[in-house]
Amino acid sequence: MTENAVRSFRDPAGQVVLLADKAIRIVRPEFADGITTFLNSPVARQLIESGRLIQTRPTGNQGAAASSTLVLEHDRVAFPSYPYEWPSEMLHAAACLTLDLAEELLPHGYGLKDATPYNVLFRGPSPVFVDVLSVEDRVPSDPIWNAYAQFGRTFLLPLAAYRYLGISPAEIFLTRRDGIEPTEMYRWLPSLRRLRPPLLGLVSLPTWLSSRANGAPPKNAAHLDPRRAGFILGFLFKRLRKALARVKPSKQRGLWSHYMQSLSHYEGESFRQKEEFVSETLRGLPARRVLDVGCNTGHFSILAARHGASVVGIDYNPVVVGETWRRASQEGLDILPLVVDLTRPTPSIGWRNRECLSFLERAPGFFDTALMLAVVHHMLVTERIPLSEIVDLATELTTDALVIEYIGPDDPMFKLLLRGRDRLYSWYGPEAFQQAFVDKFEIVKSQPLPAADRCLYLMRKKVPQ
Amino acid sequence: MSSRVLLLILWMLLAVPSSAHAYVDPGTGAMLWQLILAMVAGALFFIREIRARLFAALRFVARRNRK
Repeated sequence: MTENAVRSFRDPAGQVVLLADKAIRIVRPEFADGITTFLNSPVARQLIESGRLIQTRPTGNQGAAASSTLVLEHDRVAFPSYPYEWPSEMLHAAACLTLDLAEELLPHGYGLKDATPYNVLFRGPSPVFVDVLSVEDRVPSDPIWNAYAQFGRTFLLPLAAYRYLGISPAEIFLTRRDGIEPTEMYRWLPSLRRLRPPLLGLVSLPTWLSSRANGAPPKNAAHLDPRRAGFILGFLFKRLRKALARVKPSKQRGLWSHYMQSLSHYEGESFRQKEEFVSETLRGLPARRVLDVGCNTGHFSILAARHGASVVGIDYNPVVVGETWRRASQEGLDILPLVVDLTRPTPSIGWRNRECLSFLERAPGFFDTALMLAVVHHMLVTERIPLSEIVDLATELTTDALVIEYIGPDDPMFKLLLRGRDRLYSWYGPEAFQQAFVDKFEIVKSQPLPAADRCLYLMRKKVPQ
Repeated sequence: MSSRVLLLILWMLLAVPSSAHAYVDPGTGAMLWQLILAMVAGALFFIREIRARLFAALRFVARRNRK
């Protein structure tokens, strides 16, 4: 894992360097006074206390007092995640937090100079605003929010794209750093949709206006009486709040979100035993940081979180990850659900491919326990990943325990995935499965399940001799 | 009221010729839309102010008449 790397450099006002246990923010001298005043203000203290703004401590100034660089120390968010790994529910939560801040800072004379999901990280299911340098003194007579267009293209339009077109945040943010322009989204929309709110104001009017703009970016409106400017900004925020409510992702059922309820009686008994096995196993493990691979709607992530673990649950399907987030958020459980397909994990992207880390640069060494329940057969058959490769990856993903489920060729789901290619997997059985792991793991216990050809294992990593 | 404003804006858009060749900064359209919304809000503020002053004046006159 690359530590001590500069992780944030786009803002000319400062830089962020990540250390193992904290983040250091270096603020340029000309911005030091402003940010110090803000951090000492009651509104900043209240935002930090409520956990919505990242904990920030000044560590003193470096250099001569008059023109010195300010160094701030932040708490580190344990597992950083990016907007392309969030289900739209989480993008919506990040948008609400950003707008809350913009609105709450307004009467105190502060504003946000940008509005991007990269200013937000998640601790468990809760968003936290991490970019304190985004806060600036507001010119009281200015009725314009410079980040208005960015709020639209990085929050409202991706949320609208999901709500009306089924395009997930990953599809937008993996290919575009700064969200989606109204002109681009306009082309995707059916004609009638373009004329109906909220897309009329979010997409169509800005598109028509930009095609008639003569190139020069519009200048700020004339300076106004501060009361009037404040009223106008309040009006704009209220409109954005309304638009945000309209593009809120609705609860829907995905391919897998229905899976849990549709179990037969026989499978139900199997599931109950599986739950017992996992629960008992977690009790006997330290299990402080758990990775739940193929978390579905979060059943086992919730189980692990209730055992006191800090959980990251991953699944390739944004619908079930969104459902997991809803449950974790409602029940206040320490679960960070992310849209990650382990057979095609998040790449590292951005400037020099170093700006945002890949999933496999963040995960190894982080988790002491990995749950791989009912996923290996999907990786093996659907994605055709060799078993030895799956074992290697599992070895990287946990520093200690692996709770893994074997599902064999006699299982109905396995058969469904095979689609007649039975001969390809004629070698596969419980012995071959165990054999693949014995080099790297010690099998501590196993339990066959009543449903056909299924077995659960607790394995622990062998210490290299 | 808001649908009439929208119709007026649509009409203004159609009346202005399009310049397709110029470089248009990303976010220009949204920024222009924000300016229009700001103008609407500004007008709203103005109307409220006038109404508030009018009511204050009326109250003042009513109080004087009562004396």
